[in-house]
Amino acid sequence: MVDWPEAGTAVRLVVKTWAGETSHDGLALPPAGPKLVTMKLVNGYNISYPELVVKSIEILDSVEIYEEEVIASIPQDDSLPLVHLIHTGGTIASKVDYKTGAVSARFEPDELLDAVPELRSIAKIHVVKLGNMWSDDIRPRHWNRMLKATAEAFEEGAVGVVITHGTDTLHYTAAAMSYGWSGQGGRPSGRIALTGSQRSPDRGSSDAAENLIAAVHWAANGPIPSGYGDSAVVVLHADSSDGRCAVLPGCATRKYHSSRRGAFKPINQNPIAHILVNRDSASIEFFEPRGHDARVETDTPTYFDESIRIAEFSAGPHLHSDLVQAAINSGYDALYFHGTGLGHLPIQDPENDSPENIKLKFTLEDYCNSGGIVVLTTQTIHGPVHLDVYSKGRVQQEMGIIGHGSLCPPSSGLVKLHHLLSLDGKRDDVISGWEQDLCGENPYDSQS
Amino acid sequence: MKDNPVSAINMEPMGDVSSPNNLSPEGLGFMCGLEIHQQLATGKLHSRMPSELYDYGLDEIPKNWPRSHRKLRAAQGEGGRVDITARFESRRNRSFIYFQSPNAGLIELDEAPPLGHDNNAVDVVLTIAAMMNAKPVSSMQAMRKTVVDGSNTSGFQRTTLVATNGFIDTDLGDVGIDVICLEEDSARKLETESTTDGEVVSYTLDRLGVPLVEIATAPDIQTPEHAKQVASMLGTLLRQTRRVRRGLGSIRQDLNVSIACGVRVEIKGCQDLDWIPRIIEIEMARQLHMYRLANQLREEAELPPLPPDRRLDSIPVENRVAISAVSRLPLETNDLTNLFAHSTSDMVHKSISSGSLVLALKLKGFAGKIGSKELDDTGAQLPRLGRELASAAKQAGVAGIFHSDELPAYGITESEVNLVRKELELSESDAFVLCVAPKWQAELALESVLLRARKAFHRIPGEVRNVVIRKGSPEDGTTSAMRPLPGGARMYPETDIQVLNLDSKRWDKIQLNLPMDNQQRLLRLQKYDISSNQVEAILGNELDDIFISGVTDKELSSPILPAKPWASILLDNSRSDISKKSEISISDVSWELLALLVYSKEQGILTREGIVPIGSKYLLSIEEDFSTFDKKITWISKTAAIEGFTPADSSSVEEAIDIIIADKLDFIKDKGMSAVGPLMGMVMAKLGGSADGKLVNSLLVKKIKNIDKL
Repeated sequence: MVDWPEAGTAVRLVVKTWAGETSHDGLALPPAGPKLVTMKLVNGYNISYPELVVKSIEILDSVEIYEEEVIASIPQDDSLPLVHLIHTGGTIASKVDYKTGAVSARFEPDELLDAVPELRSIAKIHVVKLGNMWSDDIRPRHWNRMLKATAEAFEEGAVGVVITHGTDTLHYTAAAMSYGWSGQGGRPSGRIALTGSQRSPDRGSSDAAENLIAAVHWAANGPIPSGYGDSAVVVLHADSSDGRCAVLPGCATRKYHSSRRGAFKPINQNPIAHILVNRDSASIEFFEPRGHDARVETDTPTYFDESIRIAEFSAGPHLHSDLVQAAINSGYDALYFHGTGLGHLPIQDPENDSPENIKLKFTLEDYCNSGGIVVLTTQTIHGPVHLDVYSKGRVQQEMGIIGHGSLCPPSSGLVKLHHLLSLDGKRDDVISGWEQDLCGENPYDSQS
Repeated sequence: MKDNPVSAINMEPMGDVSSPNNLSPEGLGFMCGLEIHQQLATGKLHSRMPSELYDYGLDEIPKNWPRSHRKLRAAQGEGGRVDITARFESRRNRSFIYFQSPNAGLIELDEAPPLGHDNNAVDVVLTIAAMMNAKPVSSMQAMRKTVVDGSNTSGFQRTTLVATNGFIDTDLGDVGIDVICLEEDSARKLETESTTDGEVVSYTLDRLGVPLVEIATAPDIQTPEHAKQVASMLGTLLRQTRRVRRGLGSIRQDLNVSIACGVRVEIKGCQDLDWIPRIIEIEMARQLHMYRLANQLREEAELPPLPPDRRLDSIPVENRVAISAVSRLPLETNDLTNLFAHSTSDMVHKSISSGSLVLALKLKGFAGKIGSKELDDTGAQLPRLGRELASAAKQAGVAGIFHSDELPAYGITESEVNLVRKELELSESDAFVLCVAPKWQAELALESVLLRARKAFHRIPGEVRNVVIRKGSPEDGTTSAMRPLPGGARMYPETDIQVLNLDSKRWDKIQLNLPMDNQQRLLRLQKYDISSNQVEAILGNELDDIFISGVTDKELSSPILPAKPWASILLDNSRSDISKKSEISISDVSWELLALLVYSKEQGILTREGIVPIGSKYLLSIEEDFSTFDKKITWISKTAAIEGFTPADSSSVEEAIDIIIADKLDFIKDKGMSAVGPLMGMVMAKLGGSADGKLVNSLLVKKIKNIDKL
């Protein structure tokens, strides 16, 4: 065990490796790995050596420290509309300590404001920290906390809310906000925008600042939500270039690429708008709005029943009935299948050589007959579930499988199913709910 | 970090800035180190794309290359503070267009995380480290070095420290090698366009990510000439690896220069080693001039003088001077566009009519300090504050500024100058600076000028400078300021790439396989029966390994080739001609094929003239069975016969020559030996290309000589 000084101490480290003896001056850092000593050299590089090769450590008085000239920050303009910034974590909230070079995934929400001082000239920002999580760890209970935080924001007079979120499951949360506020015909009193980033904010090329500016601009200046498609929106880069963010319907959007900017696309619909972000201003460019009924403003969202469990399956050559049966036996509240093509499952045996297909058919049929809920979506992501085209589709309908005719995207569909199950509904209520267009997720035709 | 062994200089620095080559490096406390950046001949460092460069200008970029439009945001300080460079950058409002070349993917576009280090590149750098007696680090951590000029799509350059504490042996003693790093080259700038809203810079991504080795020497360089020697030695040593790229722009030398009364600056853009001593001398003169100017300004402002050595600087004194400079030089600009409404200067007139302003800045007490153009005794422009102020203005993207020390000139008249002086209420000792540009840009440029003018009261700023280039080579050895010297603090770990651990096995293998040096290579070649010209050309083209494998039984699958014909085919255009004729990339014309063709020629089954057509046909005959050496030879022999490239035996050649000579006897008598050329063509035509040109030539010469004697 080496007695390594605390981070930030100036040290001279002498090591002896198989390449010979050498010495380095710099600042001590926390170890980069187990049994390592790590330091930042005066030239900025971090180096690590195994503890075993350390020959001596000498504490130095000081080393050169780089000081920056600074000017005062942009002050908050209190006459601007109030926007709550609800912070949940994600890439948008990772940061670097330039002095030590350490990267931390944790970030205090106020620091977001410091990093993007322009926000203070768009809206009066009130920051609420709900957590610091990567979005892949998010569960329905966190949706409820976000619904509550948005309700509180509107109660406190906010005209809009921006939720900063990891991008991996941002589209699920956006759908949850949409069903929560508008799944039962109402609309929130203010705007809800979800945003995140695909490139971390510590780098000059980050999309975080522009996404945040656009999202806050929507929250502060966007149209009053109609409750149809716009109760919650996703505001992120429209494509690989900077300067234009897309405003996407929270109920019909998904992440479409693991790494690019512009990873989010609206499914079966057009974007609601684009926000052009210029040097000193932002402006909104709308698409043609879809016609819809006026909705009544509500002040309480519909929360999700946190005890609901849904079993998800992907149709394909390796889908077997025993796994489906296990889910049924475990008491899942519903089964959700990502079917192939128009929404098909391997339930037929035309060559008379695949008995597992027939087994799957019987398993599902029995389950539906006993009141079980089986919903189909399509793994093609885009396009309708249509069970009238092929005879197999018609067989699936006769078996009692729900889903025909829906344009609701797969990820939004999972949340929709959870929302419907949270209403104490039985199988028939879920069937009728599924066929409806609750909040813009299931329009009468497809636009993309 | 090396401790400076020399004690601080207490004497005023001596020397005449108009005679830079007579300045004494030792007397002025000269310190100098080099930074070499050399491209490696491997694939890209953090993607698996090829390091291919496309020699296209902006207008030549193929239409189907996708483009992305981006901005960079300078990272902001903590606690809501904004640093000045970040604010400057954001007001400059630069945006970037990236052209995605075929060797640029999502990684180059900053649309996907990078991959680990290219293994070949790591090996080359370790080899270089071993050649420079350096100690490798045991874990290599890729770092991100912040870059705000858009030359990296990510906003940073990835760089990895590989080795430290090496040295090379030079005529004036050892020169330490402080660090050896492996880094990504930047994107190549195509054009900068100034718009009413900011600047738009276009880059192509072909070069982005090409591996570079960066070698930084210790400040052990003794004299300007020594710097050139060290640069040349380092270049030679790098080329000895045979795994570095060659050609224009593949190596870049940066000079770190300071004298005791100045500060270290980094000078980029010294492509031509012969210019190095002069560039350094001129920089020494510039530092000396600026030091003297600072003390002149300080004296007139009744401020304490700068000590003659930066190590004697007092921070409280400098703070006091800074406060005084701010109060003497406040940021106040005046819009004087109206005064120039009828300007006789074309440039001013045009700019105003396209919406630009004429903005003026007062510089109190600077009359005569800014300077006008004068030459030193080597013909280079003398150092003057005016060029520094102009460089500062150019940071905002303007073409330049006008200042009172050089006016009237450029079409700006004396009466206009007087009007400006009156409008700004200037006294005799005050100066002014004018900038003609769109409002945002002129304001930014003059703010930048002002900040630089305030710095004139202090020691020169530590900065990165560029050699002034005109038509591809240094104009006169002077430099202009580019940006502040980056601090080490702007570097942090690249979290997307795992630390690469180096084990002793890999290092031992590197050390056991160090490349031969040039002397060893020369000795190896001299053992063979080839001319000294051929030796030189083979070494110069780095073909000696190929040559050796042809004349020994290593690697190339042909039997051992005779040295002379093998050398001459390596050095003539056969390979590129085969590539051109077959339209197959030259890298796909294998050395094995060349060896096979030479072998066939030596065996008497192929003429010299047949090498290119038969070689090209060979490459295009993808259906043929070339699985064994014999099958290849049989095919060549057969094809040469069909195409008429089988050598005629010498008796039939002689016969043909005799017929032609008899026919053209008068012509020969008239022209003498100069008839050989035209006759050569006739004989070859008669023989239908099947003759060996060399044989025909020698027979013709012999026979014509005999006729001549008659």
